[in-house]
Amino acid sequence: MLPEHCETILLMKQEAEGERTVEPLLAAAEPVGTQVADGDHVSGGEFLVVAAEANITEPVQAEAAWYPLDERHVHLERLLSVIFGIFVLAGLLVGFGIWFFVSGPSLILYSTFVGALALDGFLTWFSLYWPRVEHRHTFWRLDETGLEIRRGVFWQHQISVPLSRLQHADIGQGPLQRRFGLGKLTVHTAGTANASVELNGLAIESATWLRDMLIRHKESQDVV
Amino acid sequence: MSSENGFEPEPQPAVVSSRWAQSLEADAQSLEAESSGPQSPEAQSPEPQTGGDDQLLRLHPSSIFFELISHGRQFLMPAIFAFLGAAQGSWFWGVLALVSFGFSLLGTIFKYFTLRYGIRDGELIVRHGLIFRQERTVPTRRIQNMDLTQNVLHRVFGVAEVKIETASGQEAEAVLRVLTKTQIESLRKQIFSARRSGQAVVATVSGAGDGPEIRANGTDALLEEEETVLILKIPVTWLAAAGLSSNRGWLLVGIVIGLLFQFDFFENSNPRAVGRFFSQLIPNLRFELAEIPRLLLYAAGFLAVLKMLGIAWFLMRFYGYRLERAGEDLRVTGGMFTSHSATVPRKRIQFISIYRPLTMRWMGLATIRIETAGGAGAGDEESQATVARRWFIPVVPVAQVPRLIAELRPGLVWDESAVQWKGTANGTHARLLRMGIVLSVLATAIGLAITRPWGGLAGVVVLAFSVCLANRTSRSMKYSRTSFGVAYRSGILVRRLSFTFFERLQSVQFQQSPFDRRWKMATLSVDTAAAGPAGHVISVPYLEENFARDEFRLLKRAAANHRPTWT
Repeated sequence: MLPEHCETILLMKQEAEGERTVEPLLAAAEPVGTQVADGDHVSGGEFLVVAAEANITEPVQAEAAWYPLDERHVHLERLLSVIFGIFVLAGLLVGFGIWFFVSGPSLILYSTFVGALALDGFLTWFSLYWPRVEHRHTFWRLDETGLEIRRGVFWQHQISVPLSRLQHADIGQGPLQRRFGLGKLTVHTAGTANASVELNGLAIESATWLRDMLIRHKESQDVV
Repeated sequence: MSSENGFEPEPQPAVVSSRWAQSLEADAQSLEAESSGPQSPEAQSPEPQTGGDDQLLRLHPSSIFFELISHGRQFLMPAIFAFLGAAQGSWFWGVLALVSFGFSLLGTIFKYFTLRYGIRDGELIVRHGLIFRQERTVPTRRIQNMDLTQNVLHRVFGVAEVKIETASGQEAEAVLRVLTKTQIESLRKQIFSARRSGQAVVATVSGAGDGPEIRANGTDALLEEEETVLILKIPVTWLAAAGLSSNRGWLLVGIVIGLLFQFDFFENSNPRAVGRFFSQLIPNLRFELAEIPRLLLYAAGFLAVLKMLGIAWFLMRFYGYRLERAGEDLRVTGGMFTSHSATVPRKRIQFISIYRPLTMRWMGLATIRIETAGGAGAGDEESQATVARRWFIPVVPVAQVPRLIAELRPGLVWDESAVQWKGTANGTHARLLRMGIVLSVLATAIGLAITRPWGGLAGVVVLAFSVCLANRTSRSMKYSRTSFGVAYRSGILVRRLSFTFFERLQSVQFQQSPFDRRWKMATLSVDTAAAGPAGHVISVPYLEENFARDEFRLLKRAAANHRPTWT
């Protein structure tokens, strides 16, 4: 299931962007794996072949829906930041403990200790908050042209990799990701600046499905 | 991505050892022959020297010598140490250097005796080693370029160094150092005939996806005879003009300064003497009216020397430049002392750039650069390997550019005036100006912090500069989607125009920074397989947001609709 807040965010975004919205952000409220696996939205309408004319009017039609990353990715990120915060806290305690035993109590010690604690607390809070924000800004979709990824909160970018340019695709899974049922899909092209495009934080089923789709679409024909 | 290299699991020791003995004998003979003086290439005509192993051949015996020279730089430091050590009466370093040199000599000789290369079943095979035998197999279909380098020493032996490149990575796929002329010719024929037959298969299988123009060319290539057509010869006068307009001279000045640093010229000289030198120099630089003509003369002399060096660089690199076409392959040759030759299949061209620096524009000249996948990326601007593509056509009158582009990309009618350019968004000038104002305020603050009254001038200079720059930049950047692909033009002093083709696009990207969003702008970029960034990546900033968004969608669709045709 797409979590509820995702849906709301998508709708909000749609409203905010108003008429300029290029992509109708219709989030299907169905499990990512199965819904997409049917290939419903993969078979889009007809598109005009872009060719010679400099001014092309685009056929108006619904585009493929965007999908967010898996919700569990946020939880994993948060878990990691909590673990990191605890490590930092332990380090602080040890460090200040040594300082305390060496030079005894002093105002500077207490004030820096409080400052460091506050900083650690703030950073931990921020790294609990930030994955959610990032999650709201990361989407992917697969349409008849290829895989498209959109991400970035302040510096935003949207990249499209045509299916026929795909060289190979990997799925990676760290130990914690395995526990959370997540995976990282890496798509390689023959390009240079964007020779590999990563999509980290997909449900492992979605990642596998996506890879299979991409590989199936890749023609036997040589790309390089 | 095409090389399968690995170890061969069972080298069959018995066979190997007998072969080893054979080749030792053969080499002893050829070495004897060699010692009697440089001989005609026919004497070492490529013959199958190993009975069981069909057509695998050996390098030219002078390989040992050239291999050692190519590793010579590694011996430079030990040699210097040895020399210094000997000067101080300690032979330790000298002995160490000799030992390391001896080992390397042995290694080189061993590699020479065990290295075999050849074409078998449409694959280039290069193998060396005896116990750990390494074998590299490159399908000829994947070979992008074949580069030859021949310096003066090579010429004495009648040999050349061969580099085989595929689309993968930055390094050459195989380096054959060195082969005789006849060996090279036969290798070239084998590679390109094998590839052509492979091409025929591909062309017939995958006709449907290609555009009509491309398919027509494919069949042309099959029907065409293997004759060499001369496309362009560059006379010395053009090279001189290019040298005159280029800043290559500065490069040589830089090399001289670098060498001085290398040999600690500045550090070794007495600091007090340096101070005296400058204090004597500076009074001479006072603005006395009588001094001005002399200073001007000095400046003119310096400039003249720079320009002479520039001309010398161009002549050295491109003397006798010829661009030829054999079937579907373009071949560039040129160079005065070190002659370089590169074969570039024209179907592999990813990216074409036309460079027009200011002074070249005055003379109506242009430089055409190309990019193929792989290979060219490793070296810098000057390295021998990249020259063939970075400086594909070093200088040509602008009037000839369309003709040459049509040769590079058959069927493409290049008419610069007919391209419909789309400029940057309206607010670009204002945005750049505002950035300039912010920068100049910063510069003023920093300047004032350093020296009180006059430091503020820095801000004024920055402001003037950025006003000028904002104006020129906003007008010079242009984007266009044409019938064949994407074109991008930019540059104020060096005007660069690059284009690539829909089937070459590997990915399309739309980017927005917070500033971009504020000004309703976006950056549109495309990625190709061209390995060396030709100094001009197609990444167009300051486009109108909606326009960029539409273009992004159209480009990704265009890329999806044009199948890549690499082979």
